[in-house]
Amino acid sequence: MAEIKSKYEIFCNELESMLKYFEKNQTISNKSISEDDLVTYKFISQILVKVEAVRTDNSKLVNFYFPIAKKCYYLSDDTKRKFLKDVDRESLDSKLSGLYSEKMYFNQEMDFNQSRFNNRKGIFTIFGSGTFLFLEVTCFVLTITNNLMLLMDDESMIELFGLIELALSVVAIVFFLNLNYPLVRQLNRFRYETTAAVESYYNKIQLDVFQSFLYQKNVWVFLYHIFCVSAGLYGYTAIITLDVFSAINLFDTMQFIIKSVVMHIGQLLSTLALAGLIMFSFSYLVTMYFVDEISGDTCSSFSSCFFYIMDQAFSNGQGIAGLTSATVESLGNKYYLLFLLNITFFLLINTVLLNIILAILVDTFSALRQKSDQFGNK
Amino acid sequence: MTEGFHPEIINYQTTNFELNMIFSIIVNSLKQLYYCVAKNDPFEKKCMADYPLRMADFDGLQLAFQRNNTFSNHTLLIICLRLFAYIYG
Repeated sequence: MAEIKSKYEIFCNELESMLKYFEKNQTISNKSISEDDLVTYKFISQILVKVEAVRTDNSKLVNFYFPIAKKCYYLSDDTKRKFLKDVDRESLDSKLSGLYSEKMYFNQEMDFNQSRFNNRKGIFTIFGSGTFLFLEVTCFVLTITNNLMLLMDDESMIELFGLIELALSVVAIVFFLNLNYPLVRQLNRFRYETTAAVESYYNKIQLDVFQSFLYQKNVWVFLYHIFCVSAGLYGYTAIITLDVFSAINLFDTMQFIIKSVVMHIGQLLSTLALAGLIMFSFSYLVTMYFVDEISGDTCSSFSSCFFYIMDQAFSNGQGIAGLTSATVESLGNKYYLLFLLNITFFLLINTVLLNIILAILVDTFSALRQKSDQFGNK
Repeated sequence: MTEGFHPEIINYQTTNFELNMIFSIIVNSLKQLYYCVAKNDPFEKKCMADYPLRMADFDGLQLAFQRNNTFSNHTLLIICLRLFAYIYG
């Protein structure tokens, strides 16, 4: 029996490799296989699912075959991507429990999409999940065009392109409201009802307006386009330049950079606050004892000295030493105190704290990239 | 022993013959289902070769499976799947 099975395997492998060859070269090299065979193999193998199960500890693996349920095709790409991104992949058990906990939401979405599709076939056939990407890329191209025209001091076409971008963004939001919003709202409500104990008016507004609409990736990016273009055309032209930040939504690496800052924002802010406190005490010492050594009248008061030190010592990489021109000859024994102050400031701020901030950012960024690469490989 | 009567060769040829027969049943069943149900063809031509399945028909097959209940629940498709599961194992 094992030998016969292996021949079945050879037969399937032959068809599989020929299918790959055909898709690459559009011809069939093996005369015993026809295009009919390849189409049939491709179709049937795609709709047939194999599940291997062990009934008892000592029994062998048993294969179960069944066709994929039709409604599985109605699970949206966004949901699949989100699930793959969020599910815990530490172990097989965690993956399974993740899938199991999401199954009722998947079911809900598939049922809802199937019934909506059957009622409005025409709309859904034309506007698939790629529509938003197409509109987003078009808007981004228009943004780049407008910014290039600003760069070349030619503002003649900016209004036209801006209005096209505005119209496309409005169209995208209308599409979202019409095609996606009902499903997103229903799923969010369903999730809320199964997890939350209290239902209030505020929560409903939060669910329906913020979570289901404004926080959606396909909405806020177009709202951002609308804001930048409207403010740029009818207010300050410079705001059009801010529209290029919409690129963040299109490129994963840019999102990683933003996430690496936002993800550990508490740690970053704490480090900056500590740096601020150290600079505050150091600027007080400088104002009290070494104000004459700083050139100009930049340190006329404690507050101006504090902001001057914050601005100069923190950003020029030299610490307080970069601000003073004192020598042993000019200060005498007081110089050694200033030297101690300089070196302590340099070590604490320019060496330790700035590198801690850098390390937090780099660590978070590399962890995000690693996670993304692992997901890509699995 | 004559080479043609070697049990392993006989076994191989039998399996191969069986596989080709099963797969041709699958292909012909799918053709008939696709042309009759998805394309509403009267299926009056002389032989099965007159009803080719091209790669261009693949999307049509998928759409028929996803949207046409008659297609997805048809006995011919069930036969195809059962026979294919036998080969696929």
